[in-house]
Amino acid sequence: MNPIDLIISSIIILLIGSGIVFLISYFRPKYVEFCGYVSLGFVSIAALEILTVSVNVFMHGPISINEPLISIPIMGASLVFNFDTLSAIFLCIIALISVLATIYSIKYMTIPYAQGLRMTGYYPPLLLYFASLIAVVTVSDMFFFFIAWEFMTLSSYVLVIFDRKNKKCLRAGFKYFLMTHIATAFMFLAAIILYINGDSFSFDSLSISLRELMSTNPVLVHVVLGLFFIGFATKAGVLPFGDWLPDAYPAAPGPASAVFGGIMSKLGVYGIIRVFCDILPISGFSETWGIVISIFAVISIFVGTMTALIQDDTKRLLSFHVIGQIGYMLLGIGIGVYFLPTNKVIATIAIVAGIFHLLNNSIYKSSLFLTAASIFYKTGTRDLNKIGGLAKFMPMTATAAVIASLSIAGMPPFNGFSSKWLIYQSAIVGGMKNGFFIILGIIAIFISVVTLASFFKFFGASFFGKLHAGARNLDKKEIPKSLYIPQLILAGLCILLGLFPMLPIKVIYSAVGDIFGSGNIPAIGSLYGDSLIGINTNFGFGIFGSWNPIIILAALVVTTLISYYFYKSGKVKERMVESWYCGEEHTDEEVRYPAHNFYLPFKQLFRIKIGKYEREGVYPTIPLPKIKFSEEGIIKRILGIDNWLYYPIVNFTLKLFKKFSKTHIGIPHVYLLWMFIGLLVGIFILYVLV
Amino acid sequence: MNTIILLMLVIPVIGAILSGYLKHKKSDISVLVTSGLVLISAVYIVLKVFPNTQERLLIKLPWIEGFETTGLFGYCIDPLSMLLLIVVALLGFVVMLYSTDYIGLKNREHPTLEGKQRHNFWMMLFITSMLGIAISPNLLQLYIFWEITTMCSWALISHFRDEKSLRAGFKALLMTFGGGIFFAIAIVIIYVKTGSFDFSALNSLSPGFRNLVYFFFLISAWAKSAQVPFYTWLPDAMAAPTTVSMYLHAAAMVKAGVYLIARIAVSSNSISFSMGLVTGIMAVVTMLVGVYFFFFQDDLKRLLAYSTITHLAYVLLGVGLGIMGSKTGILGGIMHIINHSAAKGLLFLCVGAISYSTGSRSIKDLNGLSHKLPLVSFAFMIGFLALTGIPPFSCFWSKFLLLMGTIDVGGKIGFLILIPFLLEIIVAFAWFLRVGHKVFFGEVSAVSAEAKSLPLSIILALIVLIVLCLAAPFIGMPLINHI
Amino acid sequence: MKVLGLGIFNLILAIFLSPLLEGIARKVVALIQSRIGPPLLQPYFDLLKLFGKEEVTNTDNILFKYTPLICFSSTLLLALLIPFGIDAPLSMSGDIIVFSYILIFSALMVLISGISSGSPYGVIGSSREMMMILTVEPVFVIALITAAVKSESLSFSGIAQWQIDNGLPFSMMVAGTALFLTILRSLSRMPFDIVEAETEIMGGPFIEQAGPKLALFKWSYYVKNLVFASLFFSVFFPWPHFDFALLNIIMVLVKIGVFVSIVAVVHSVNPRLRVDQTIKYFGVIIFIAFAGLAFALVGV
Repeated sequence: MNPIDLIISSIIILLIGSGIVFLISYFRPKYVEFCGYVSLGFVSIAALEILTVSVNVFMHGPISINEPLISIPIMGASLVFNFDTLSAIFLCIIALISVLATIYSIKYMTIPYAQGLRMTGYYPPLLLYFASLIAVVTVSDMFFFFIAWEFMTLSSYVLVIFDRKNKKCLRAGFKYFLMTHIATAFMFLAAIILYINGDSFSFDSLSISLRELMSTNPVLVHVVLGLFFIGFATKAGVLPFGDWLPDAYPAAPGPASAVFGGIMSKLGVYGIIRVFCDILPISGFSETWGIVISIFAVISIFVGTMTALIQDDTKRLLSFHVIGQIGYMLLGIGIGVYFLPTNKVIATIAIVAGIFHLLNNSIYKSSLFLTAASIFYKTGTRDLNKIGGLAKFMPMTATAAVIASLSIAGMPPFNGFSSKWLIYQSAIVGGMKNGFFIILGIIAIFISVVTLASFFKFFGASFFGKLHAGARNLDKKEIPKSLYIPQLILAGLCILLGLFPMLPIKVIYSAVGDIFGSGNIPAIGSLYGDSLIGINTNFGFGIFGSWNPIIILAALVVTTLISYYFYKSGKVKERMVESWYCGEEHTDEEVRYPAHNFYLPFKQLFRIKIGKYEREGVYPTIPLPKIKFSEEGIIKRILGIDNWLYYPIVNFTLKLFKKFSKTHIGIPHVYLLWMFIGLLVGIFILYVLV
Repeated sequence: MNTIILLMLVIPVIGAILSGYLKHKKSDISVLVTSGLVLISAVYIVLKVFPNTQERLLIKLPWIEGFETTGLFGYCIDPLSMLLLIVVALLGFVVMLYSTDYIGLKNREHPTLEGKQRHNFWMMLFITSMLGIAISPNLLQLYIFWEITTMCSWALISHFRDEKSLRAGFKALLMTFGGGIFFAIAIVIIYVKTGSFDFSALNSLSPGFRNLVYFFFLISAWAKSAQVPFYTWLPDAMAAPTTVSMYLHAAAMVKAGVYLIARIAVSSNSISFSMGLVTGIMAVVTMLVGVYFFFFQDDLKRLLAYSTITHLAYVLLGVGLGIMGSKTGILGGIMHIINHSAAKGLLFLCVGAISYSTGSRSIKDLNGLSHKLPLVSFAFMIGFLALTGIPPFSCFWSKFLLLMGTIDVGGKIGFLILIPFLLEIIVAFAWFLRVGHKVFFGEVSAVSAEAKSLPLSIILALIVLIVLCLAAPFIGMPLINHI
Repeated sequence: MKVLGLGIFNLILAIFLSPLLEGIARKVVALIQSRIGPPLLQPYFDLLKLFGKEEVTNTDNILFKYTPLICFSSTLLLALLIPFGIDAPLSMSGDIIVFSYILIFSALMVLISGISSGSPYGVIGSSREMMMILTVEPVFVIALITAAVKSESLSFSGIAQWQIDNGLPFSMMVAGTALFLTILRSLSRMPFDIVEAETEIMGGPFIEQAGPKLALFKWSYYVKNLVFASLFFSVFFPWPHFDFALLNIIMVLVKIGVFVSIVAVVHSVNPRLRVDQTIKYFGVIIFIAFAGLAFALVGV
């Protein structure tokens, strides 16, 4: 089968699967796990198909099909697929995470079912969601891209409001759907403005019309780019547009949040890459918008992660980190876009770094969301203050969680470090050209430590320390295999990509090459060195960076052996004792150090108090205004035309008629008199006329 | 072909008479059969004629001096009329199916069988008149059927014969008839000046008269389609049974006004830019006014009525954009006729089903219905998504074309229209989402807890319209491609 | 081959010289307090004693067991990334960013050992350590980046080479001062001895450590002494520079001795600051560091 058939058939398979699962779960609500297995079947077939496509692309380069499948001439839209390496990377991520999340769902969804929720609201939209994800990253026509995009919004909204009795979820879903809908409206506007100046919605022709606009109407170009940016930034969760995200992600059921955190917010970044690297021709506009993207990125990094530090709800904490991590990707891409016209070396390294971070992030972020779900599965709570010491019950989950946490915090040698390291480098080296970026880079490095602090709290409070009293009578068994194996797979990938960063970089480099044309960017050997095991960046003017995980790891092994030798040199015995509380007798519960108390003095730094207004942290939540219209408002009185125009006229007319009716008093003489008067009037009129 | 078209017009009249005579079940069966036949013949006609145009005069008026060459009765089947034809026939059948159980003793809002024959009679007559409008080849015939629909509307709004519905029916009659007078005057002017009743006769008028006539048509359309400043009758008309509200006051009759304007704009290419501007601006004003009233509505049906007002304004906006020079605009407006009918029809039927099963239409009282009526809540959400323009559902396609048209017109005018238009789209979306959440999700309220199950006919009608919400663009798109 | 030789040299230096530095520091403190003080080799005796002691634990947590090991080994790794008068062995495998992250990594091991010990004092100590890292890390990073920007290089050797060629610029002086303060903190010296704070939380993360594990932690602190001293001198004050390598090494060792003495003096004459005071203190320092960066960017 050729790639296009594979993609189409995978989408169709998911759509059909969604319908079948809907029927099963509607008519047989008790078959919870069965629904999961059926969905898994459909998802894995689709995943295999799209994996085939992406492997094909990796091997033979981009595939573009110019023959449109559907064509709507009056809208200038035609359904065209285009698989370049960037799409293929996304397809890989989708295939991986969709399968793992579905495996995870099978057992996990028995918990919501026990609470009286039906699977009709979970598996069918989940499959639709996967279908729309596949469409979003492969379509190369703006119109159908938006259709897939809105479909994705719609199906994810259904997942967000899965718990339909919960007011919080409903509010979150409302906010999510509304904000993303507005954002999509903006993007539609931008696309239409470009379409009117060109002749079709395909990415290429949008690019051409953008180039034309640059010379004729530069202001409009900025408007278009701004609309696109707001639209995609809203979906990505860039602050301040991503205000919905910390509400909506926790509201969805665990595995669905993992898919959201793993893929959906990244698609906003995908859109930004498409628009600012692919559609926008390299020009002075790139510089302006590179700076804008970087600024918003750093705002998200700072505010998002700082706010995550003060969260005690596992999923909410992770959601704020989604915002922060998106900032890192966009920082890389922003720097890259800025340097596109002037310095191709920095630009390429920065964009590759951004996409690499995106890839890494989707791996560990979904793993972390799954961790949060597992904690919920085990303990029934998401409050970090109410759990602790879980490592004893779920060692596998704890291992995966620690690895993923260290990855997200950018600890070497895990994968998060490699991409962050590249981003910092491009910020610092970019800062040598334009000092502004150095400030951004420093904030990013600092916040990386905050991320570490936040995740230290996350796994410290949940897996280590003393058990919470409420969690004492937990089942001592480890959670089911299907819950921790997906996490272990993801954690394994974290290590693998961390140790061999050149493999993904090669692929991403060719993705960037596809976007700009492989002749237009510096050769890969001159950027990253020829070695396959480590990165030796070369920024061109005598600046080199080096990160060689294998060698560093080898050195670490050597030093560990040395220290192990010392450790064992005394041949000492081990003895178990009780914890020592300085001589006082305490129960475990009394000496727990709950999550909320971590870093209190530091958190107090960011407590704002102005008069009566008091708020913890730097995050400005936008409360939905309570809409209250007074019934007697002046506008309503004016618009109620009935009351001041029609009813008076009608009443007046009726009164007039009533007065006339008084002439009908039922006496023949009077009628004769009227007839006579009428005759006279008639004769008079005729006389006058003639 | 002639026979089938004539049959299509005659069958519902027969159905009307039969259903008026027969009792209960037999009346239902007769309307179902006749409206089904209408649907079949309409579909047959469309399939046969599309994509060409077929036009013929059947009856002339030779016995009146000066009218010898004027057609009294004929038909003209072109893509535009096919669009209305399908809407009328399809939704007519669905609504008759729906009403077989809806108007009955199990309806908790109006548990009565009284007046069922009357309802059926007027509905079938209305189908005839609406079909007449759709196939009219000239203004005169259109006007005649137009006034018949006004009459049916009056009779059906006053269906329950209580004080409220009588007043509402009278109000609707007065306002739509008042608009109809302008229609009549416009026809007379055209005939006197050109000697023809054709739609394209406007082209041969002098520019001053052309604008005047167009403006008169616009006034009559405003009245018929409940636009500012004549929008007040439509919310009151919600006193009618839901079937009537759905069919007359959302899907079909109110479309007659915008259909007239669309027809004139399509067939005469010489209407001045300023008239297009008036059409567009008033449409935008109507949208804002309609949306403003959303916030005060507690009755679901009244909310839908205000939404209908704004959506009819979409059609007029499209026509206005078309007159201002955007082809996409007018096509989007025309396509919106069928898309809106599907979505709004579905929403009305959902509200009807809710009141059938709970006896209440109040947003305040209803809560958490999805646990009791999963199908209705599913249908309502689909209808809401279709109405507010979420792809791939129906209204998205026409809204997108309208947006394209607005930007196509461009400049200050485009911007002036675009901003309130977008505002309307977003506010309406937010409000419907809020209402949907309130009514269907959350804790189950006392009223919702007592919801009864629904009969098969209502469920079938809902499913047909859910499908139509997805399929409407596929019907509309090829049709507008040939306008 | 050269890399291997350098590596062995650095490791030997780090492992066997570092306790001596601690001995010097103790001697200096004793001098200031008018005591005779322990012999110079006392830290070696301490370590020997601890390695032979019974291992008392209160938990079977696997992380608790192995964090001291990894802490010590990652600190040795730091020693491989830093030049001691001559080139750093792993300079082609890690630059300043890698260095600062491995630094955090070794601190993280202390943290994890603190929380996995199960003692509330350990958790409090870990929380404090994390806060300290949060507070100090920006200053540290800004100082390093200032050097990187000024010398247009991302490796320690490159920065040192640039300084030898061009002399000490004003911006690096400012950055060096800021760096010195962060080093005090990283070594847990007064006035920033907050994490262990024996009188408050009884050693914080180390409260449950005993025997070889405690020895490894202590030793890694000694190594850190050496690493930071070398960082300070080889990056910010790399002269006098000789063409002869051995002289350079001796020079560096002398400078490290001086550095340790200065740290000890500061340590003994200052009281301990509270956590919030430290945060505010570094809040001021960070502005100084930024000023240094600004100077570097405008080319001073």
